[in-house]
Amino acid sequence: MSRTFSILLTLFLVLPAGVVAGTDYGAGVTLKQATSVSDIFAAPAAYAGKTVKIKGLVVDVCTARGCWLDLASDKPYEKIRVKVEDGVIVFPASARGRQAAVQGVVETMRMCPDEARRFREAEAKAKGVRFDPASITGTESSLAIRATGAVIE
Amino acid sequence: MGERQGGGWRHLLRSLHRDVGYLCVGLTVAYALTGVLLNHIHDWNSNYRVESVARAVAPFPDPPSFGDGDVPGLLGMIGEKETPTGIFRPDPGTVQIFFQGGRRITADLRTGRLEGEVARRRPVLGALNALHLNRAGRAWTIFSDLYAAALAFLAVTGALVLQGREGLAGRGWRLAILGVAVPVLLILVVLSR
Repeated sequence: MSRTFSILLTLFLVLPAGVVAGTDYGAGVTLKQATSVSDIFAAPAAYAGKTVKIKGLVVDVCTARGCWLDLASDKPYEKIRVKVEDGVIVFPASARGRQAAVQGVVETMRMCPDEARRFREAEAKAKGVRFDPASITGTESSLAIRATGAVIE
Repeated sequence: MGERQGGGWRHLLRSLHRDVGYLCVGLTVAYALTGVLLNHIHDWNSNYRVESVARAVAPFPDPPSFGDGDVPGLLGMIGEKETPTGIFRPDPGTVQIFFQGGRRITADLRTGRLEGEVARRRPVLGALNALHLNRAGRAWTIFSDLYAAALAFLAVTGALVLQGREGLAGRGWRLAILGVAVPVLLILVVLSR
């Protein structure tokens, strides 16, 4: 009985440590050559559907589900959304302000007005800011990386 | 003889239902709680508590010309001594300064309004949510598979332990069908669109 209790206690203490340890996420990053975010913004059609590695400062993270982060471009006023499959990769809020390398496929996220409203509303709630549904008047599209792995330094 | 035999296996089911129920009660309550929390995660963030504080300083005279070299002066105005881990310009009038642990200061250079924000993890709820979403590795997957099997056992034994008017053959089957009908209806009406 006491042995079983010891095993259960060890599992209880060790499992949460496994959740928070490590800086590799998903399949990690295997590509050696990094593509600059500004190059992707400059020629989105040339990169659409291609697997790239990008690097930069993490400037925002989804605090609700950890299912996306925003990576700063090498040029000012630019950032790119890195989206991961819900629950497969979970980015911690503490990643904000750290350098990250991400590997994934470049894609254009196209949203109809209803989708865009839901997306922006959820984003605003996560950030704790106000959202005006009337501000979305048409379809929205933005460049994003559908990531399979990341390394946060 | 048949009735005595039936009473015998029902007695065994009742005993097993009781003891397996005791084993599962803690995790069932935890799963139920986190199920509700995760369903409403966009209404109330059960993983993190986001704290923010606002301060006002003198507006910066020429926001687009603000550079990294101006950051120490800006932080000095609010007595911030920690060294930033990164700086980002989301637009010509705004600078975001990052610190360890994900803390961020966003400065509106035109108005001089500074907002500091940090997301603090909720230790208990955050950990329970992580377990609910199976983020604890292979060992937890095996454990939660066993737990799921135990829940199925509880459901079946729960339906069979009572006899007569209160049992499955009495009014129980109507309630069981009602319980199944709701998700089936949702699949037919909502998910098939």
